[in-house]
Amino acid sequence: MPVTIVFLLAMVVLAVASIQVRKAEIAVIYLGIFSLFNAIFYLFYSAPDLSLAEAVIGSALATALFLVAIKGYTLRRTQIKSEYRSPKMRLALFGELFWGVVFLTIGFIVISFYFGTVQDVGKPAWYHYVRSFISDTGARNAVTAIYLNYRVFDTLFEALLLLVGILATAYFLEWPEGKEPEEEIATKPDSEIVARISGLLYPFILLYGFYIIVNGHLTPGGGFQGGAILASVFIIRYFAQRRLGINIFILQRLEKSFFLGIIALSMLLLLPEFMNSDFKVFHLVLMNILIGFKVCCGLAILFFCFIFQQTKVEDTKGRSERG
Amino acid sequence: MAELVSFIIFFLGLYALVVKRSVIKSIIALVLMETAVILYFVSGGFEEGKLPPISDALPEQMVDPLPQALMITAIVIGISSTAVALAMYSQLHRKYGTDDWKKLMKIRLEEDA
Amino acid sequence: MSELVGNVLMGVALVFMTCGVYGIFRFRHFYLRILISSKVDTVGFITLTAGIMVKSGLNFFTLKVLIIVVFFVLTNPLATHSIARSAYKSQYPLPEDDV
Repeated sequence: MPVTIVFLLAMVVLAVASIQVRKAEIAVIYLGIFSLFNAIFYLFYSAPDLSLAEAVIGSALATALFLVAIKGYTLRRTQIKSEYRSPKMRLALFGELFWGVVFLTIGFIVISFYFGTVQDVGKPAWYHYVRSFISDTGARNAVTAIYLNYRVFDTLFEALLLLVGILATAYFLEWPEGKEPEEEIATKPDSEIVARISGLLYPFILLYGFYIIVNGHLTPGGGFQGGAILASVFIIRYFAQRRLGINIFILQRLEKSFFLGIIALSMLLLLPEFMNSDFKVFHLVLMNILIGFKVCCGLAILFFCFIFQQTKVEDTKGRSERG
Repeated sequence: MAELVSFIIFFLGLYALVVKRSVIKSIIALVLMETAVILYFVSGGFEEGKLPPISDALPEQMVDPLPQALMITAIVIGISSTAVALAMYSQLHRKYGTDDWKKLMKIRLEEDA
Repeated sequence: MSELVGNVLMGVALVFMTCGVYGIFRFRHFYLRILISSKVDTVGFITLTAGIMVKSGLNFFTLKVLIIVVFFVLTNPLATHSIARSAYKSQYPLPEDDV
């Protein structure tokens, strides 16, 4: 298809741009557009679940995380220019060119090996899953059937990894202990228009998120994508009104208990006599809802960790400027 | 075609990871490599003219759902690993005040000496 | 009949969008460009979705598209407003008299 070729070319160009641009913010924006093109490309390759996940998580949330994390840290344009003028830097740029050529040759050798030795081994798993997923699991979406029934271990450890990632982020960013973080960052909203209109948007976003979660076994979507959409409500609320509206420790405890719920619920799959055909569908919906809430809490905590860090940096900066 | 492009993006990411001096560029390179792997898996499950694995299609017309299910978990793990990398970067920048691997190494060596 | 009306509306939307792209390249200044892109995006999108709604007739799909239109009408001016406001607050210079 010529359309997919256009998208692939645009992806390569955007990847090169996000690597080569000197200013970090612009590179991050290019990365976000790259993810968006990626999401549209998955749609052409018959993967609507992945497309939704990439659009929500890769393109929107990851870009927001990057921008919050590097806020106030990047160099000014004049600093970059003066640094790139020095003769030492010229030598370094020459070295970059050299390594670029080396990696291009290695890449082409690997690609030629790949296309020389690839062979078709048939798809036994594909036949099994595609023929029997409706009768086995009661789901209408084969992707949901796989990650909530056939390979539910993958989902469990994925949820565990998300939890570990959040704990690691909180450890590196040193949360303010004991204090109520909510009071620390409560300031006036930046723009009255944004604060008012974003209040009108919450019902739409919540409706869409719950629709995606509850219909995850029938249509593209599911717990991960819907949870990310719900987390965006917290993020919009912070950006529009400068208010968290929820205590972060409650959010963390909620996340852990949702994870326990997911583990307990997936244990039911070990009892085959319990799983008649009505209960199977109910089980899928319940799992999707729990995963959705867990991912929502997790992503909101990840975001707020960076927000606390940023307010701390601004505090110390302001103090050093004043004193 | 998509396999070729996923290889190209992966090696672009590797190149940036080795060559670029800025820490944030290294994190961007990690994200690019991860996206390339996901793209490779998706294109491995696809054949021309097949439909999404949702029940309106006949079983013979569907694409392989297994790589898609695995890659959804990969995307969610990807954002948590990106967040950990960004947290480390944030602490590094706050402590040493620079965004450059070489300068960071110099400062660390002077501290040790 | 409704098919023809829908197609005509979608064609008009394409004309609007083309004018908008021309306007973005015609003007040099940031504030003018963001004004053009916002206006033309909103009008073109509304016309396009009106074409889709007329074409598909009255059913559940039309309701979904209507919700999307309402959401878009709320969010697109909001996004433009916050971009332009942040540019103004970070002291991006205003345009000269002649454009």
